[in-house]
Amino acid sequence: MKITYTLNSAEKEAYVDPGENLQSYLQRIGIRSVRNSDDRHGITGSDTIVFDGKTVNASLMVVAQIDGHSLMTVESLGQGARMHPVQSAMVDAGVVQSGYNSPAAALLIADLLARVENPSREHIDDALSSLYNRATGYQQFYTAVRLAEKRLKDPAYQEQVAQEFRDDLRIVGKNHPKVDGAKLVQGKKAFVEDMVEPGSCVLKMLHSPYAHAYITDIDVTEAEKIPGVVAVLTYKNTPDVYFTPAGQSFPEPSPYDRRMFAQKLVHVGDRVAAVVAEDEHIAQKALSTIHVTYEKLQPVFSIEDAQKEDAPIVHKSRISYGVGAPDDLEQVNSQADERDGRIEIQFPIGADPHKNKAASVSGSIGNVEEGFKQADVVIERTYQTTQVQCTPLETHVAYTRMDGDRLVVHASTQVPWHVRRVVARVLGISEHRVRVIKERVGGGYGSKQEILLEEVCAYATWITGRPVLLHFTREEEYTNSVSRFPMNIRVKLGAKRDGRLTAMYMDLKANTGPFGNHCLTVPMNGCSKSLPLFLSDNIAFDVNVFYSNIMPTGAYQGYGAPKANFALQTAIAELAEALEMDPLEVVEKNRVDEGVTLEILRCLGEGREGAPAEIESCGLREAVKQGAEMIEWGKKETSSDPFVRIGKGMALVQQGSGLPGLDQSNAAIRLLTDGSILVQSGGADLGTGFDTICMKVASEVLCLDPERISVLTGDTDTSSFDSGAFASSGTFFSGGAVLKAAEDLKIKVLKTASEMLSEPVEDLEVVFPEVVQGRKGSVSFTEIARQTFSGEGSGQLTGTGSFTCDKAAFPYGAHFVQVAVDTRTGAVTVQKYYALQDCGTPINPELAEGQIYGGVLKAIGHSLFEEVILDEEGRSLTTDLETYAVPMIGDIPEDFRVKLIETCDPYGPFGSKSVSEISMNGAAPAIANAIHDAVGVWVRDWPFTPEKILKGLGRLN
Amino acid sequence: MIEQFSRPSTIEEAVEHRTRTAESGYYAGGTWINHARTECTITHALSLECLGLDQITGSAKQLSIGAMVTFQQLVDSKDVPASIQAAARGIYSRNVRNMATVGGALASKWAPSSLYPVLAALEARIRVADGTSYSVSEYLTSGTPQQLITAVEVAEPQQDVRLFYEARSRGSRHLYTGAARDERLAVYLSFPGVPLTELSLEKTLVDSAARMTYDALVDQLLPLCSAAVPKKDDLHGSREYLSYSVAARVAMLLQPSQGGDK
Repeated sequence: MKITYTLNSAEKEAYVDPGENLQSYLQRIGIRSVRNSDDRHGITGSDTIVFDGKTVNASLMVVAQIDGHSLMTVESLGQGARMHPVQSAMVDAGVVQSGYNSPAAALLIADLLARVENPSREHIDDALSSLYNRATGYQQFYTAVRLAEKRLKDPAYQEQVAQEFRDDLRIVGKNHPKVDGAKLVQGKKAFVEDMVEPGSCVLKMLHSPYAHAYITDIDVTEAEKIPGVVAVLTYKNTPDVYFTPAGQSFPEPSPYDRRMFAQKLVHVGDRVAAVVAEDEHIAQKALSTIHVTYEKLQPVFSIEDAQKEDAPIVHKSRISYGVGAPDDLEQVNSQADERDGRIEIQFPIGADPHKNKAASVSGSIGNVEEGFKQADVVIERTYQTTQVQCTPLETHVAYTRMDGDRLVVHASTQVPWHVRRVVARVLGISEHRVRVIKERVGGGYGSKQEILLEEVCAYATWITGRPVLLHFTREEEYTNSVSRFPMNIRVKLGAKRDGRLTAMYMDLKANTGPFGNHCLTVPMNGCSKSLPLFLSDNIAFDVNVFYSNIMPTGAYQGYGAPKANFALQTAIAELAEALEMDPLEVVEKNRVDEGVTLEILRCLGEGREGAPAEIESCGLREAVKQGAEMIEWGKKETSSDPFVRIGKGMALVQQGSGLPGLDQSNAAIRLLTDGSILVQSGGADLGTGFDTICMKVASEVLCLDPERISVLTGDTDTSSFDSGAFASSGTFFSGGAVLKAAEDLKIKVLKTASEMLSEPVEDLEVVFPEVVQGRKGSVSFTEIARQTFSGEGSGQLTGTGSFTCDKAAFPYGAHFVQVAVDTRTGAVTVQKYYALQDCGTPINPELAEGQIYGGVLKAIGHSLFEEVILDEEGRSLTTDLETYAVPMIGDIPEDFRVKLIETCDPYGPFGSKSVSEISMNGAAPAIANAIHDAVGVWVRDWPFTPEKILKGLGRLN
Repeated sequence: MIEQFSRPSTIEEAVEHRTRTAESGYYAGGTWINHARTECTITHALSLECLGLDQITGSAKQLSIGAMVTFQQLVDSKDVPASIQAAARGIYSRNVRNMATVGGALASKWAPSSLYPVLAALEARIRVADGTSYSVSEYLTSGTPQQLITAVEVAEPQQDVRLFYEARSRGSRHLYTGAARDERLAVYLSFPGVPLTELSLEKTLVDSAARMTYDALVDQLLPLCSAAVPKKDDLHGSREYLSYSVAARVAMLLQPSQGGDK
């Protein structure tokens, strides 16, 4: 069919397949900004275009519809490289983080401002109702719209969008446009999908229909005969290598229990076979011809059932240990079924896979039994959390290709170096043959700490020599990506009548699902990021983790802490009720503070021996004080509706800043021939602004203008090793390495300048902009560079930094919330949410605020809306964004505020600590406590649905 | 998969084409045909965009909404009563409201909107190309893809119709939507998979509602609501919860003085 249409004011003519999806068509003709992230559900808005002056979803149209019509995409905004005022406002306001749908947001805001002068909050909510934003929690969009409106009238208009810090520093602690902001908001080439060359193959997967089964026969001969099929992969023709998808430092505490393809299938959606084909249509056709015979096994889904003596065994595998094998291993292995393959455990983690136990650990300080005896009041409560999903806008994706005899992996990952290690191991090749390029990441939140598809995609390329794309559908994202571990957490607390804790005990049981990635560390982190918030001489915990046949679990922002913190802090509030005290008073009597040594951490060492840690900086005192004032703690609010009750709640939050003694980051900074610099860091920017941190740290130390600095990160060929972006390590570890590299380069610059100026180094200082000033003279970086690069020069000046640290830097915070509960319907509305957080020196204040808003809203999501729901066969019923209810802009609290509490950490770069993960940990306990304050009901399992509230109120059985 | 796409210029031409070609199908905004939940079986799409069906005409006595009127047009139009505007806003995304048409939503018989119960409460008539008209219930039961919806007609658009719905979050699927006319003798409900069902209230109950306590009223309504909700638990709530929730919402409609009817 021949069509004519207008695209961004240019007349176009094309011959098209009339039924082709419009979003696919636009991608095919090079309009990258129109992306797909919900597979035709009309929720995310990543596919927004303007069609005859109205914003619509291109995925819900066919190409024939545009015949005779006009289309505008984000490419119509701005001129060349220059951003449109809406785009620059978005970048400045901090709403461009992962950026996957930032082009869509720009179109929606531009459309709003063209329709409405001085838009109200209602107008903005309506305009952005088409947009799903997981990274920044929507709140800063109100600032972006206001800023954009002013800039449309006055392009030079500027305002301070977030509080700034550290008057003694020039750029650190100040608002500054994110270095990749323009590229992202303009929809330029940035993500893995943008790197795919024409003629590349696609890989599509055949998934298990059963939660637990053996493949007894698999016939792929028909599939292999189909023209255009390049390869068919099954367990029969792929490497017999076991690995863990968990991107953790070697040796990983997670068991190697996953094979590229296995004969035993352990969850609905598990890999059965893959087809590599010239296009998706051929691949799907080939998949439909694969004949599989299954031996269906009884599945097991719950923690309770997995523990039973006669429970189905998820991995009746042959077990081996790197070190520390138990004495009865041979006898255990005599019961193994060879169809279950192997499990390789690096070091003891308390596992007993033939009893479904993936990991276990216990620890204590003092004597908890004695502590409970000393208590005037003892309470014991059990809390439950369900599976919730990271749900990034960009689903998991990998694109692999050969470069000569080397394999190149374009990955959307938080852990490029672990991807390289695992891919090399699975393929049986040396790491030098593999290059991993971390592209911009369209949202990770922990799920991209997992190596979920890179190894199979890489293998397909390795054996065929062809470039291969594997991109999860949204359904695959729900069935094959990772989610939070469901947990049952029993908390026992003892306290004196005055509220002082005498003992704390946490019995944490977790469901790791079909694989053991993070099975030890997520639950342990739950303990290590909750129990140390309160002081007691007697603390104990038991952690037991079980395999099952639910959808896979793994890392998700907060990493166990949101669940354990929900349990512990709700229990603290329940204790306060038992003591007839204000919960805030109990918190204040027991919370940690600066200078305290956390003895319990000696038992919480991520599979190794831990060590007590001293709290060197802590903003809790101020956070609690200011938060209580902001929410008017103690003042009872009433509604004009007699059926609506209002309540307030609060919770403390804590996280870490990387893993002391485990993580390592490296960086190099090169002085280029004109005196500008290139920062090369192994850190992985997930959209959170790590690249901007690199730029700011280098700029601050070396006194360069940001315009003279470029940053390259996350490429295993061009930057040096980094453990990866997890455990809140980015700013502290990766940023710490950049700081060391900058200081190293500064020393070298001064040394060269000293020779050039014939002045001692002690008499020199680097001053802005890029000058070394001596007592007698000065020399610019350009002159220094020219000298070093000359025939008589010292060679290129490169500063290097390797950062390790055995000290912990804990960020802290206090979250306060006000909810309204409708006693007729059970509906809970979060009216106010104030997150007060101490991240040391906020290097990127506006981005830090955005991450907190985003983290809090994700946590409000799991507290009130979100839930992975399986049927009795283990099939997910929530495989799209309509059934898996994510928060949209209309769901955010009416009064939503973030306040950064300034402290200065002695070990983090410029006093900084982590900021993002911690923000996930407060919503569930704070909301649960507020619900109780409102209606007297304790809700002990999330999400706090209206049905549970009504049951608590006695209106439902 | 759509292999042909044509734009008839008259209703007659569209109907003639549809009658002549079994594999053809009417194509309005495309929203629901292209939606992930639909398996598109038509190979020849007959676009309705040139038929002039995108007009809203009306007065206080009679409202006619062309089949190609979008949900956002409903929201923006001064001629459309608040009840229909609220129903149109039942689709949360403005983008989707800009695309989705009234005719398309009705023809899909599943579109996640609040339109079905509100139009039913307004006693709207669905006009098809041969001049026949149906009530919403009749159309959802017996309307066929061969019939071209041309308009929705509402005789007394200003009737006070109240809408309520339940959903986990703003963008997620509705557990149910409901609408009741001012007389409140009938409440129309829509559930996933059950586009329209009617909850008949006895006049004595409606008349006495204001004098009852809220809890007593809910108790009275529960058996009726229980009979109206689907027989299986919903993904996001048990059957018992759905029954109670609907009863609570209806009670709120019947007792606005108790803080309901919001």
